[in-house]
Amino acid sequence: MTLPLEGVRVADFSWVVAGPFTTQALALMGAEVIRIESSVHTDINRRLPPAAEGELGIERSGLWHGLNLNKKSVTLNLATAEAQALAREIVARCDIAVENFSFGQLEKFNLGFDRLREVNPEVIFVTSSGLGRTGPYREYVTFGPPLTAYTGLASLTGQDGGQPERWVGGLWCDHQAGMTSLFGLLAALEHRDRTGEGQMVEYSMAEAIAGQLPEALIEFGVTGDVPGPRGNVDPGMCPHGIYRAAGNDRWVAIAVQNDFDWERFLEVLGGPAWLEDSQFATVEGRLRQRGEIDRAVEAWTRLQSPEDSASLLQNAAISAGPVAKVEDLLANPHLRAAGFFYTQEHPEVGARELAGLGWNMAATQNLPIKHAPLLGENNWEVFVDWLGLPAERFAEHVASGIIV
Amino acid sequence: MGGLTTVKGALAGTRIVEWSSGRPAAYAGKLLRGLGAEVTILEEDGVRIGAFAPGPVPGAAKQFEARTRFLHGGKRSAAFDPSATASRELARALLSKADILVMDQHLPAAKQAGMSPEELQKQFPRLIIVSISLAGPGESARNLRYSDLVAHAISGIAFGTPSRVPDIETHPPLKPGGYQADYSCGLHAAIAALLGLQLRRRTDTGQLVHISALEMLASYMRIDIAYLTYGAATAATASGGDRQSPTGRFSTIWGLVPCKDGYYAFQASEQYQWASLMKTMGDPEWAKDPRYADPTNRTLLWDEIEPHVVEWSMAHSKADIFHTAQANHVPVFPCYTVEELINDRQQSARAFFTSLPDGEMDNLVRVPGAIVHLERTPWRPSFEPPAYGEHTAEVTRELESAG
Repeated sequence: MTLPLEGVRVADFSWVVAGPFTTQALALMGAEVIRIESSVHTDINRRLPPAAEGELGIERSGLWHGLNLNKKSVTLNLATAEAQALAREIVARCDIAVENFSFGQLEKFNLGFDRLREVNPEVIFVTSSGLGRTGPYREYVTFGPPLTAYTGLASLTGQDGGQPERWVGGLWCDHQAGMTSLFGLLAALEHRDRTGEGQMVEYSMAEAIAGQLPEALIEFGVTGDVPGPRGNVDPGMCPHGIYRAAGNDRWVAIAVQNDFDWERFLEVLGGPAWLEDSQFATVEGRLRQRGEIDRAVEAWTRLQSPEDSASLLQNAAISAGPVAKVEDLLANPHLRAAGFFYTQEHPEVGARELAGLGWNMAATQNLPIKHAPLLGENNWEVFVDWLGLPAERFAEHVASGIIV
Repeated sequence: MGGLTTVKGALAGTRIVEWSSGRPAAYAGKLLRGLGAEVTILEEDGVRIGAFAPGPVPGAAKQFEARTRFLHGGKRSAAFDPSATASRELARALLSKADILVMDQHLPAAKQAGMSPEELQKQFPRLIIVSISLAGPGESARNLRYSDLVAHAISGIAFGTPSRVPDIETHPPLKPGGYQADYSCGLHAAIAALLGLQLRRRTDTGQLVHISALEMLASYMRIDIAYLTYGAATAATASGGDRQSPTGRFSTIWGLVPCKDGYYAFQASEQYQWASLMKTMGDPEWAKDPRYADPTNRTLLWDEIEPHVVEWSMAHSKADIFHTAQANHVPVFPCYTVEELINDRQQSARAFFTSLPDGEMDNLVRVPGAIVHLERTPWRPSFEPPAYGEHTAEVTRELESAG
């Protein structure tokens, strides 16, 4: 089966989460992705948990594995001119180069866009940072989780009327930024395929997150009121919430999205009778007594498992679902049926399941999965077989700490 | 409400049909329109108000108008009635000339109209079809009704969002603020459309791509999932799994900390970052406790450490902490409201936010601009939305003249 990005080559200078998430998607879609690493300054994710069976080691991190499937790894000491030249040779043979170092770092390695464009005028160069490559804070350092606070998203996330939430599930900022990058990169690839022109693609992680907050900005612009956390409340829907279910810390989410939904919802609920009052037939009426309605809904949801409540409601075409914990995802029949999880056979940690991607198409069913590369696993293949470096020269570079 | 603006970009000449019932497909259409594609909405009467109206809130009409400008600007609208034969024929004629269809219809309803993605794939083999749903097209999933809230719930995002809750009984799992599942589904649909174009270039055939909100959001839970599959934790202590843990994470120290005028956030995963944070705080005596030397210990002892950090923070503003800590290379950020964000110097310099062109609102409404910058083919926003069905006749004429 032909994959969407077969024949595309990527020089991957990225690290941590956002950049590697982008390039893993490219690799899984068929691109040949060469991760340019260093054994001196390894990607922090090679050293972070979760480590297989809790035993730390640069080849044991599930965090790193989950972001680097199907890639190749070479190791270069980019502080040396010879390593920089080899890196430029790799880029010269690639369609795309991706980096997310701190501001100016790649330029210090003589690998900035101007240098790369000299060796490959058609290259697509993807560069990113927390707050962007321009502006007064361009040199500010970033991790995704604290950046969430800057973007406004934390100020909108929290219990209704409460304080901002310290964490948004799923390492939100990094993954969202990675997909924003992929969108821009694929657009540039489309243009390159049509015209032969490469270009720079730049984005800021903060803008990738704030770009998805138009409603809050519009609310502020129109009313002058600064929106804050609303919990699971929606100002235009009722009932709309996450309700306690039978069991310890079990919950069910229910969204009655319009007045037609409400009619069917009442039939499923089967009472109490006061809910059938005509004043609740419209969302305006229901929102006026949201607290009472939520209590009535929860009196019903507490009697049964979240799966049972959700099933009854979904059978009536009302959006509902059990609140999943992480272990529930691994058992989720829809994810299993869709082939969402990939299994890598890793030389050091064995067979491990890892999360897949957010789209599904016939062309990418039963993808061949290659384990996340060992550090420098593909040095010989890339430098000798591909770039044509003589074997003796390769050995000299290894001995002199250029290929490390 | 206005005409079209011509935007040339990476997708100039690409024809897209958007059959949207909510934000997800509408946002995908917006993103692709920003790349220069021609986007025509197959628009059912009343869908727009159902999807974009904010509810009975102050300024509801203006908010609805602004949301419509943001999401539907620059598109065409062809009135569509799936129950009418003539309307379905017009839709099929439009699809026969299109490159991409983006849809977020409830799959049983699409099937009832004879326009399920699978049926359309058979009829239009070169068409790239991107279908957004709650949990995909599987037999037991395709009937499930989508919503932003439920997408976050079933994918693990909601359970992983609140941390350090004082009482799990009274603090439910949370969806992130705004409509993150809606927009992220739209972003993924736009990505899928671009992947479809790549695949068609290689195979000369279209492709049906499913965006399941469940899969899309679960893909963001990859680290939490790896905690379980690597045997590194029980479910109760997996990243994001313990809603009452001191830091919300057990792998790294970070937090949202109160200060003189609000909150700020930091992350000190690396030893040098912790040392730099302490330097920012004036190298306090308490930090020299040898138990705090190890990063894992610091995370476990965060309940003990936090009061010291707060005591210092309460004497400083979030702006002071932000800039001072960043000068010491510590990832620290202020917790901004949307008002503070749009007035931030960095955002002003990058001109990320843009004003909606509406005299009545006196340009007070700022919305996000380009989320990614393409040097040669910039992504460009459009804010003039079509009226419902405004281009039905135009589309009909075009199709007739094209034969």
